[in-house]
Amino acid sequence: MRKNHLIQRASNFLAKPDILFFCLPWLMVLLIVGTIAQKYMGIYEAQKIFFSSWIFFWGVIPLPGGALTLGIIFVSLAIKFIFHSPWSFKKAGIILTHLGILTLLLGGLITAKYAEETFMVIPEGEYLDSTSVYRERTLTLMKNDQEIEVINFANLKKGTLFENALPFSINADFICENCTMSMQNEERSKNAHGLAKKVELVSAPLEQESEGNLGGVMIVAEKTNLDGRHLLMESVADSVTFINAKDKYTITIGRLQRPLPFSIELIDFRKINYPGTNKAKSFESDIIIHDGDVNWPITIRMNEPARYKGYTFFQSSFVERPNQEITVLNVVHNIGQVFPYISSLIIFIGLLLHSFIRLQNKRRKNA
Amino acid sequence: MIRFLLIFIVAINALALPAKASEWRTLPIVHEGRVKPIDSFARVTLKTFSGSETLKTLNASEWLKTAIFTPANAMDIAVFKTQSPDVLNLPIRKSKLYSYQEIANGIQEKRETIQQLLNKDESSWTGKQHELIRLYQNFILHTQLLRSLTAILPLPFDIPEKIKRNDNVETYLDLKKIEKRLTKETKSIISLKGANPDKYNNEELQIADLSFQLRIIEEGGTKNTLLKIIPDGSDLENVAWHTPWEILLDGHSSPQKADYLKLWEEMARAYINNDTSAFDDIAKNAQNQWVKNYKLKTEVFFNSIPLKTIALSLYLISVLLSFLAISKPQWLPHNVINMTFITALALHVALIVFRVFILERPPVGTLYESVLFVSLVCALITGVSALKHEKERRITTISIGSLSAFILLYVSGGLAGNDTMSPLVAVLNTNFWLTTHVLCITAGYGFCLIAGVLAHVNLWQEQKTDTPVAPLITMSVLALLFTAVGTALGGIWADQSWGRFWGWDPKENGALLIVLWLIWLLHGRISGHLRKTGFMIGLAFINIIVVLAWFGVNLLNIGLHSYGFIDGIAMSITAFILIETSIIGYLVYRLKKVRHEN
Repeated sequence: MRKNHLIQRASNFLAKPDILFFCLPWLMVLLIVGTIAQKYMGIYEAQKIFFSSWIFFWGVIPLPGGALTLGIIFVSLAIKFIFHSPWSFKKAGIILTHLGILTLLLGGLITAKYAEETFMVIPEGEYLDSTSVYRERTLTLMKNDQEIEVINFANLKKGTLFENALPFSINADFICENCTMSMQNEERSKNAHGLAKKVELVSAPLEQESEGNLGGVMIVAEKTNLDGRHLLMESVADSVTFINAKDKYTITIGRLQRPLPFSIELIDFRKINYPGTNKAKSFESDIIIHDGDVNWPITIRMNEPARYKGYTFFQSSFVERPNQEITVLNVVHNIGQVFPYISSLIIFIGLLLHSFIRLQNKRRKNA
Repeated sequence: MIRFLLIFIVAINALALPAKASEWRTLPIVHEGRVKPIDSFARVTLKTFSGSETLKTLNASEWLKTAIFTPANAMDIAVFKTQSPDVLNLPIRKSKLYSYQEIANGIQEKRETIQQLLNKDESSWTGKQHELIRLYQNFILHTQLLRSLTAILPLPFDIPEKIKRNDNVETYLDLKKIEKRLTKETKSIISLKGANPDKYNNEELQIADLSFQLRIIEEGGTKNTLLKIIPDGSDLENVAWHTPWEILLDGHSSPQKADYLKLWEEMARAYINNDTSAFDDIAKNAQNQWVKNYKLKTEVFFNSIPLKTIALSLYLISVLLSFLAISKPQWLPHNVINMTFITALALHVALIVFRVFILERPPVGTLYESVLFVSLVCALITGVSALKHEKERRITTISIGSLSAFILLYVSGGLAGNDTMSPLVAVLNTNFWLTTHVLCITAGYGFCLIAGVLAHVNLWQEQKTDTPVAPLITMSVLALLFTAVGTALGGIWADQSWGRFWGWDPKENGALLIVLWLIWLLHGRISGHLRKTGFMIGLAFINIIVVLAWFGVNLLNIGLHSYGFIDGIAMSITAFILIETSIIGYLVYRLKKVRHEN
């Protein structure tokens, strides 16, 4: 009895409009501060601190983040909706709108938890069966082109690498999350190979957006066919290969790969300009999705993505080279994708109904 | 009402007459990615130089004719406007307009400084340096314009009598035909008399000079990409376009294109000979080369009627008359105010409809267009509301609509740029999403602004009468309907083009801020946390929120909505926020004072 009473009291408290009345201004403060902060901290960092966090710190003061504020609004609204809604036609618009907002917030939660955004860079005429993760880099060891071990860049430490997988020794001598290069000194140059003969890695300040960083590692090989220093750096020197007893060992640096259950072939990429200008009117990629016996040709355009097996492919960017065009596709896998569509429809119907009922009531009163 | 409509139609016809003046203005050209009539090209180009679509003594079309058909004459026309003549050591002049020749002399003096600046990062330039580079770029553009038809114009130097008589040389094209012979003759003169021109007789000097001049004209034409007047085919919107120089130098010619170019040559000759009638006949003939393009004619017609200026003036008159009628009700018949407002509204609708027809897209593709559209929404909302009100309140409602529309139309002038009809970036090039999301959210802005102004009026009137709050709540609910649905549609568009419904992008956050503010106000009112005055004050502040969401977030220059980024309006936004806050502060102070006295 006492327990029920407590639940009742808690339910009454949580459904109070006061909660929304005081949470909304805080959410607006977060929205304004978080938006301005994007200019100075970078979009990803600012969003992480102000919108995706439960708690963040202003100096030493803990403050509720966007996730917590939205969570409180969600709980309050859900209790209000289930236990305290005035179930009458007069209030049908408001009830529907509240349902729509609950669905939207629930969809937001599922998306935040499960959605992943990756990308693919495919040159014309080539296939790809994996996507690249935007912010995660890896160091991958391959033996005779077969992947043996992957180390996430965030876990990379100075010292021995791939200890149990190699018949020789590789040590990480210098690691930088965002690197630049300086001239190699003469002494070190003697014991170096490839680009490391000429340049040394130097740490650079991190870019505002993580995608802009160029990670790198200076490794030292021992008991190999190429003993000495080797440089690995994204977009500059992606891989180093060693030969040991007829086996080929390759270490590559790059983005974390997510395998796809099918492959994509780029047939043609087109950039269509407005006449007489270099201003793009449209970008288009003709692709074929190869999945077992299925070969599905489809064109991806701006505002017209392709969807297949829960993956959505968007035209994101492109690279034009003298003899080759390369498309960049944004790939999204999101099981909560349908929620915003349903919730938007419910909110629309709810608000329209509420406006209609309100105008009808007004007319009746005037009459 | 019928009498009024007749006057309106007659007025429109009278204004439209200049559009019939010349076929030349409707000739097609591709400029900045859009097929447009040459009249629009002339206006945009002249505005780029002078900041205005007309000069004191010449309209844009006439100026363009002078520039391309008689370049030597155009060099002395003052078209370059600058507020800082000192950057090119130009004399201070009241009109602030300078000729090509004057600018050329200044550029010559500052050539080294310009080169150094161009090698530097733009962000390090001072205001004056920006102005110097702007003038330099305009000078280059004007140079291209002057040289755009030099291939078909009479040669600007003397031709040796022998050549003139035997080969009938008048233009570059004629000269090009005898180029080989000229080169041969020049070589033989040099081998006979050496490279020193002092030893040549007059005829030999002229022949040697001809070869040199031929190269000079050709260099001027190379890379001249401005006057793209020759299409590859009759499907004007979907073919490549070329300048006369591209046709001649890059091998894009065909019999049809050669015929068309010949017509331009004849037009040039008629213009130089001051033969207006022949010029018009040839222009008409050139126009007939292409399938009848009503869009080009409509655009010329649209250009010739200053719909925006007239609507703006009528809204202002409507505001003034309304204020007069409110303070001295016996002075003015209300019908005069109604008619002024309706005329302004009709012209405003016409302005938007013309733009939709010409651009073949919803009228909200750019920030400028959105301001035009929101001002119309404001006028329409109040127009519809006014229909239901009694005389006294009708005038108040009309004054609110007129004032909002006037302010917004006035503000739009600052966002117009040189060309208000430029094509959209690829991601915006979708009529479906422009129609659904952008129309919806901008209509929401309109409802918000009217709700905000109504809240100001209520705060003003509250001391006199107990003003009802229900109309404000209705307006807020409608504003919420449009902004919330518009924001959700924006999310769905983002999901379709970028792969995520919500990304906390500044533009998205701005729209969400409006929605949250309205939800907070409405829930505060329903729950009793906000009393009537508090609700009105909160609603009055919605204007600031809308301005921040609409324009303010664009100043951050971050996020995926890069097509909306702007600079240079931070001061205006700050001033607006300060003024608006002061007004609301004053209204609250006044209200409290009156209540205290009562």
